[in-house]
Formats: sequence, C-alpha cells, structure tokens
Amino acid sequence: MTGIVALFIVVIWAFTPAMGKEKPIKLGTLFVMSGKLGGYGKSGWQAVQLAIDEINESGGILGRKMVAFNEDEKAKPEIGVQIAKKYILKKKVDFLLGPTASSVGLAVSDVCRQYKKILIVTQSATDVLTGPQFHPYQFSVLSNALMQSRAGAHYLAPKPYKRWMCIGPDYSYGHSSWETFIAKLKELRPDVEVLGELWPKLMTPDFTPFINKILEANPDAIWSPLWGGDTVTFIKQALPFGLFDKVKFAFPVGASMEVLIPVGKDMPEGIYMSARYFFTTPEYGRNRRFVKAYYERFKEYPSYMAEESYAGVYFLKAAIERAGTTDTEAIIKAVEREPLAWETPEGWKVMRKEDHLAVEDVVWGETVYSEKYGFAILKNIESIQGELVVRTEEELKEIRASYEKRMKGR
Amino acid sequence: MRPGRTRWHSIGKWVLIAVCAVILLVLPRFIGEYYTNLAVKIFIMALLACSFNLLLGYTGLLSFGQAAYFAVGAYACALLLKLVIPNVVLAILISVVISAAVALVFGYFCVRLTEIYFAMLTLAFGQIVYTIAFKWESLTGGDNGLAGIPSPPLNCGLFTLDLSNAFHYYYFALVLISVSIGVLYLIVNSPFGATLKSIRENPERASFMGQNVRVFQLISFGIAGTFSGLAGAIFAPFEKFVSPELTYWSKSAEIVLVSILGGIYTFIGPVVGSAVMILLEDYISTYTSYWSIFLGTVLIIFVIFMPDGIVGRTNQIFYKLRTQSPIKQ
Amino acid sequence: MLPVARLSLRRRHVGELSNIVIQVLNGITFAMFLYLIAAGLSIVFGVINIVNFAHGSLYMLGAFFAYGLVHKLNFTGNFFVTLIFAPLLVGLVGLAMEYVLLRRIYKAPHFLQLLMTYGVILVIQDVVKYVWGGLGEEFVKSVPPPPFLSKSVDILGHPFPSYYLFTIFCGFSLAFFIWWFIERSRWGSLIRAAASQKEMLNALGINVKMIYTLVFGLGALLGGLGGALAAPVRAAYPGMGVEVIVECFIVVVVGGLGSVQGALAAALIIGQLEVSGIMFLEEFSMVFIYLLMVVVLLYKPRGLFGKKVGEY
Repeated sequence: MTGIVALFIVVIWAFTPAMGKEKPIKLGTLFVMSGKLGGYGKSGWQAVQLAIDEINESGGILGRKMVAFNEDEKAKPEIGVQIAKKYILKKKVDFLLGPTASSVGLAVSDVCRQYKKILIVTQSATDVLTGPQFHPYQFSVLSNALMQSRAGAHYLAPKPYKRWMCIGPDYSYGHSSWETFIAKLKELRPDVEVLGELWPKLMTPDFTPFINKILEANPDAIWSPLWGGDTVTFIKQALPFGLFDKVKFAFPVGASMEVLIPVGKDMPEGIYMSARYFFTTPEYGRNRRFVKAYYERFKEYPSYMAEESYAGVYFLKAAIERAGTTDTEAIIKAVEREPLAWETPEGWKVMRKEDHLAVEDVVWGETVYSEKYGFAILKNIESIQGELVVRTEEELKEIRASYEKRMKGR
Repeated sequence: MRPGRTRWHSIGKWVLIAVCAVILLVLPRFIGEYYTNLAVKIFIMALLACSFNLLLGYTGLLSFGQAAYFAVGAYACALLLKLVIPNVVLAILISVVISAAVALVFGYFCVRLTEIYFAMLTLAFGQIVYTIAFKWESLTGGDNGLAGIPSPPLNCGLFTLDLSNAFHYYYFALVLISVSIGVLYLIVNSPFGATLKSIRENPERASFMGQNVRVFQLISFGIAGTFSGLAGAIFAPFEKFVSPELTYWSKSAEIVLVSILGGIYTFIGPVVGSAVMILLEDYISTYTSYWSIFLGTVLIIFVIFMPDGIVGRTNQIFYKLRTQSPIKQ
Repeated sequence: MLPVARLSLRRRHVGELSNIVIQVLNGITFAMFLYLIAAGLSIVFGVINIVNFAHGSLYMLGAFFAYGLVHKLNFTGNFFVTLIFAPLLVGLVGLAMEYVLLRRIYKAPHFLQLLMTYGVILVIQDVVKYVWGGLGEEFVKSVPPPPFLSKSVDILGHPFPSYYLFTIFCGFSLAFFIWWFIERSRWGSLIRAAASQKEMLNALGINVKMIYTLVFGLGALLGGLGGALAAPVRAAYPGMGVEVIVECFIVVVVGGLGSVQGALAAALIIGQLEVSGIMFLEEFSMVFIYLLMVVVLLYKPRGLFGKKVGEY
C-alpha cells in the first residue's frame, strides 16, 4: 500500500516540472549604459524591465516566464561581441535585444547570424542592417535613419525653405541621414540649394566655430542629425548667438527626453523635431497606460528609446506566440509568412518580411515649452506614413539578392 | 650558487612549462565554447602585451600607441581575407610585414624623444591611425568597421582546420602565439636584449659605451610593432569584425595596464596580467554594472602593495621562501 | 555709380576684418577652456613631478559639483558663489587623494603613477554614476549660466556670447594670478624651492610634504574651476573627464612640462589652430591637435618652453 502511495507521489513529482515550472525564456540585452550617451541605455533597459514584468504578470509567453540580462556595450564593438558571445554561449539566452551604437549593432548582428540567434534591434538606427548587411536573424523594431530622413523630406518639402545646410556628427549615421534626406528633398523639390555641410566629430564639446560658419553662410534652414547630449550642448551654445531666430532647424532625432529635459525652458519655440515616438501622442489607452506605468516606476517620461525597446519585447512575444515555439528558424518562418502586426504604445506596428523592418509612421512637430511638464513638447504634430518612406520593392529585391550572394560566397 | 641548485632550477622551469603546455592543450575539452573563446582573446592580448613590454620593460620606452600596430595588422588581414586571397597564412604574413613597416616609419620619429614626450608622440601617431581608419570609409568601412571577415579553412597537409570553429581556432592561435612568445623570449635573452636592458637602465652610459642607442630603440620598436601586428592579424579572422576602436588610445591604455599589472620587469608578467584582467572583467561585468569602481580599487590597491606586478610579487615571495628555507650548507 | 561701389567695397572689407576678429576671439575662448583645465595639471607636474591621469576626473567633479550646488541646494541666485564653492570642494577631494594615495608613489616611476591614477578615474566614474544617476535623473546635466551672461554682445556687427568673454577674462586673470603667485609671492617661492631643492628645504625645517599636498590640492582646485566654468557651456555628463584628459596632456606636453606659461602658449596655439582648422579644413578637424603635437615635438623635443636635459 505504502509502495503504491510512494509510486503515486513519485509520479506526480516527476511530472510537476512539466506543468508550468518551465525554464524561463532568456533575453540578453545590451545598451550603452555609461558616458554621454548612457541615457539611451538607461531608458532602454528600464523599458525592457517594465515590459517583462508586465508580460510575466499576465501569464508569460506560451506559459513561460521571461527573464532578461543587461550589460554595458560602451559603444565598443569588441565589447559588444564579447557580451553577445557570453549571452549565447555561456548564459544560453534564447534571444538578444539592443544595442545602442550602430557599429556595435553591426558587429553583434553578425555574431547572431553566426550562432543563429535572433537579435531584436531597438536602438541602432543604421539602415545598413536592413540593407547591405541584411540577414534574417535580426528584426528592426525602430524606424531607421533612412525612414527618418525620407519622412523629413516629405515634411519639409512643402515649407518655404530653399537654401539648406547640414550640421551633423561626423560618422556614418550622420552622413547617411543627410545624404538620404537631401536626395529625397531634391526629388520632391528640385529648386533647393545646398550651401554646405558641417561635420563636428561625435561628442564635440565646442560647437562655436561651426555656429559661426552657419551664421556666415546664412541658410534658410538646417538639417541636423545631432542627437542626445550633442543636441543639448549645441542648442545651449547656439542660443546666445540668436541662431534659432535666423535659421530654421530640423532635428530628425531631436525630440527625445534626453534632449528636451536638460534644455528645459531654454528650448526655442518652433524648431522642427522628430521622434520615433513622443509620449503625448497618440492619445489612446495603450499609450496612456504605458506612459503612466513608466512614469510611476522610473520617475520620468518615456523617451522613444524606451518605447522602442518596450515594443521590441512585445514584438518578440507576438512572434513567439505566432510560431508557437521559441525555436529560431520556426520564428523566422512564422514572421515571414505574412506581415506580423502587434500593438505598441505608439500604435499598431507591422513587421514586414522583406527586410525585417517594422513599418511605422514617423512623427514630426514643432517645439513649444510646456509649463505642465517643465520642458518643451511638440505641437502641430504631423505623422508621415510609414509606407511612404520605407524602401521600395526594387530596393528590397536588391537587398535579398545581395544577401543570397554573400551567403554563397562563404 | 651551488651547481646542483642551478640544474634543479632550470629543470623545474622546463617541467613547469611542460605542465602548462599540457593543460593548454586539453583545456578546451573542459571549459566549453565560451571560455575557449575567452582563452583565444587572452592569448592575443598576451602576445600584444609581450610585444609592448619589449619596449617598456626591456628598452624603457612607454609606448602609448601600441594599439595602432595591432589595428594595422587586423585591418590588413581583414581586407586581404575579404578582398584578395582567402588564405589565412598568407594574409597573416602580409599583414605582419605591413605592420612592421608602419612601426618602423613611426618609430623613426618617436625614438628621437624620451620619456613622456616619447609616450605622447606614440599616442599622437596612434590617434592619426585612428583618424585614417575612421575617415577612409571606402577602404576601412569608416566607423562602421568591416564585418563578416571570412575564416577560410586551413589545409595543414595532414588535416584541415575549420577556422570558423572556436576550438580549431584555439589551437591555431595557441601554436602561433606560443611560438611568437618563444621567439620574443629568445630575443630578450640574447645579446641584443642585453643591450636593450642597458639602454633602459641608463641611455647616456650606453651611448658613451659606443652603442647607437637610437638604432637599437628603433629596432626594438620595429620588433614590437611586428608582433603587435601579428596579434592583430590573428584577431581579425577570429573576431570577424574590425573597427576603428581597435586603434583608439583607450585600447593602448589597456595594453599598458595589463602589462604593468602583470609586472613589466619579468617576461611572463604581461601574459599573466592579460589573463587576470580579461577574466576579472568578464567575471565582474556579469554581476554588476558598477564594475569600474571595483576594477579601480583593485588597481589602486595593486600599485600600493604590489608595484612589481603580480609576477614580480610572486617572485619576491618565492625568493623569500627560498632564502628562508633551512637547508644546511 | 562709383561712390556706391566704393561704399560696398569698404563694407566688405570691414566684413572680412570682423570675421577674422571673431575667429581670433573664438580661438582664444577655446584656448581658455583648454588652459583652465590644463593649468592645474601643469603645476602639479612641474612641482611634484607626478603624472595625474585623473585630472580630467577632477574637472568632471567640478562640473558636477556646480550642477549639484545649483540644482539641489538652490544656489541659483548666485552663480559666482557656485564658482567659488565647487572648485573648493574639488580641492578638498584633491587633498584627500594626495594624502591617502599619491604620497606613496612619488618615488615610483611614471607608469605606476599612471596606473594608480587610472584606478582613481574608474572609482570617480562610478561614484559620479551612483550619486547623480538615480531614477529620473537625466544623463546630461544642464547648468544654467547667470542671466546677465547668457546673451551676446555685438562685436563689429557679429554676435559673440558674453559668457565667452567672461571665460576669456577668467582665463587671463588666472594666468596672471598663477604667475604672480608662483613668481612673486612668498608662498610661490616656497613652492619653487620645493620643486627644485626639496632636500634643502627639508633641512631648513620646512614641511615639504605639506607643500606637496597643498600644491596638489591647488591643482585639483584649478581643475574643478575649469569644470565649473565649462559646465554652463558644455553641460555635465559622465565621461567628460576622459574626453578632455588627452587634450590636457597635449597642451601640457606641447607647452613643455613644468612650464605654466608654456601651457598658456600651447593652449593659445592649439585653440587658434582648432578653430581655423574647422573653418577651412573641416574634414580633418579630428586630427589637428595630434598633428600639431607631432610637429612641435619633432622640432622642440621638450615642448615649447620645456627644460632641456642631456641629449644622447
């Protein structure tokens, strides 16, 4: 009798692990967590934590909980690769998410391709990842530099500015942002004139000589891919020159909390800024809940880097659920079967199969100081449709073809 | 010293080396892919640090731009493998020659200076290489770097190494790097090495004794650059990614740190320092994002209590133990 | 027709002249920022012969203390009070650093000093991250300049920020003060003696150790002053010290180790070169400062005003 009871107990005990105490899904994240650009990493990691806690509280993914790790990539590809290998080989993560710096993004993406793990890109904006260096083991959740620039061209072409200049950080992101923008602008408005380009090195402490050059050339408007701390210092240094009264500025990635809050009420009114996401819009429930939860937990409003990383985790959830498994190849097939739409605070996003890019709308607006928040927010917000600015059919065919060729050549 | 003692001492040294060799040969079986990867990184850093130490520990020159030659080797190898010839051995050979040439050119200017001025000039040349790597986008990929560097299989006659496999690369790197470190060891223990040491101690006196100090320093610089370039060339097909960060002064600083940590006045110091630093960083960063304060404190305590580096200190301890041992004469 | 032509020609000439004046002023401002940071390093190296890699971190602390004083303790009313207290706090940090750590390694070779001060950089980095990096804190911290210094003045038809004029004033005043202090005051003579004849000074019963401590504290204070002055223009953010330290060393080396007037001269040359370089040869602005150092060191291996030691 006791034998049967014992057997019964043993059988129950042996099967309990299979009934919900499953291994958690492991997500390895990497962001820039230190230095001048560390704000992006901080936002990203906070958002990932929020998303994961929400998901776990509502039952997890396929009944399994999710757990995430975070390490600082320090904007150095060597470190990024090290962390990625640590996650894949040692921690045995199922997926990776991040990183911030574009060069790290390219390096880590290649590691993911080698080891056949999926990377969810939520902060690196280089369009090389969904272009010449495309491979199927990564999905970009955010609008990349290409989309930002094209959207900017659509937004600014109808406005009365003909003489343009550019001031941007001297590296591939800055250059490609400008090149794509001006190419599209010239297409939409052939009478524009380019007066010059200025390329301060990334994280320049002193923009004054560049400001002087702008004053000298006296353009109508300026396209500026400066981001993060650089935008803050640039605006602060340009203000005493009255630069913003003389020249109209367009910052394609300027409307981030990392810029708006430090500049505060010094922010001049009427600067064109874009953000992949701005927390005041859209006005619907999902967004309001996200903003509220984020603010309560982290005492600050979510920047677009936070929202994109949050959206990234939810994309992963949607992808896994559609595939019904965490197996890499199955997920890729499932997502590529037909466009995957999932809900994010900024609305519904669609992940398309051709270049693994989420087609999302780009938001542009003008700055205005808000007493309520204590920093500038956007008014006159216009949303440029995603479909308008992503790569066209022919461009996508080229991308796929070049990927096949590269794989053959190995 | 009693003759018996000397013989025992050198036999002991060879036994130690043999034991280490055996351990290194079987290590991958026990530590898994990730740590095998880390081991290759340690080997590469060890070679880099040893080549650097030829300049600091043996010639008395603090090179603060050694990463430049590492990067030249890495980029050269990457470009050769990607665009020209898919043969790892040839690519490495050519890259080494290129780094040696660059080192000799820069060295020619640098050895005219001394002490901190020498260090600053090496730093300047390192940054100039950084700028070239950063701006010459069509060649180097600019700040995005070069990704997808191929690791074509290596036919060794009897067998073929699949160099994209971490374990195979481990053995490839192990052989190449141990041979190189062995060569460096022979160099520092040769008459040439002795001259370098005398230059390190007192350059004026060395020149009074008829040595052309500058030529020796330049040759030392060239040798260091050659082996740094080799380290870079071994790095490229392994990491499969090169970027301008590899030449930035912070990478050069890392090399300096690692060597001093291990002990610059011993040959094996930089090797030990490399292993300790890489393992420590890997370990600490897994557990906390505040690894800086930890590492910083370690370094400070180090300088106060172990200024001769890890190996220097252990040598002292062994020496003390030996001289205190109650062997009756 | 002729008078009109002559008038427009004159206007253009004045335009050219004013452009040049503004450029020169920009160069001087840039130089002053460099000098304000480098002066402390130069003094410390000249007197104590120690390589303080962590000097940039002291600069960063100055900026963060300025931010903290302004925001947390509500010193908003008085920018100048902040400008006095922030550097003083950094000076205290410097004193502590010298007493606890650096004293032990005066006799050590330079590379060991480098290693230890690098450790200090790492420690300060994380301390700053912890203290000023909590929830809801933004990474880049803005320090507002006093209202009367945040507009610009008109110089020959061009706007020039008055804060920059203030910086230029501070820079030259500091240079004068340092010169007066070291060359003309009694304290200065003690310091000069400690730099070159410390055994003699010890024999005369003067506590040289304390002089070293105070000199290091002074160097730290100057670094902090540089940070506090730069903060309204460049904002305070983690890592700003590491960015600036290499430039600092270049200024000190080009000027000649141990020479404070050398540091000023080097700063002025470098400042002007950077600004002109950006104006005309923008592509390579990254590399000017290094090329300059290469050129200077190859012709003057001890820097511009450096002391010559034996050749071989």
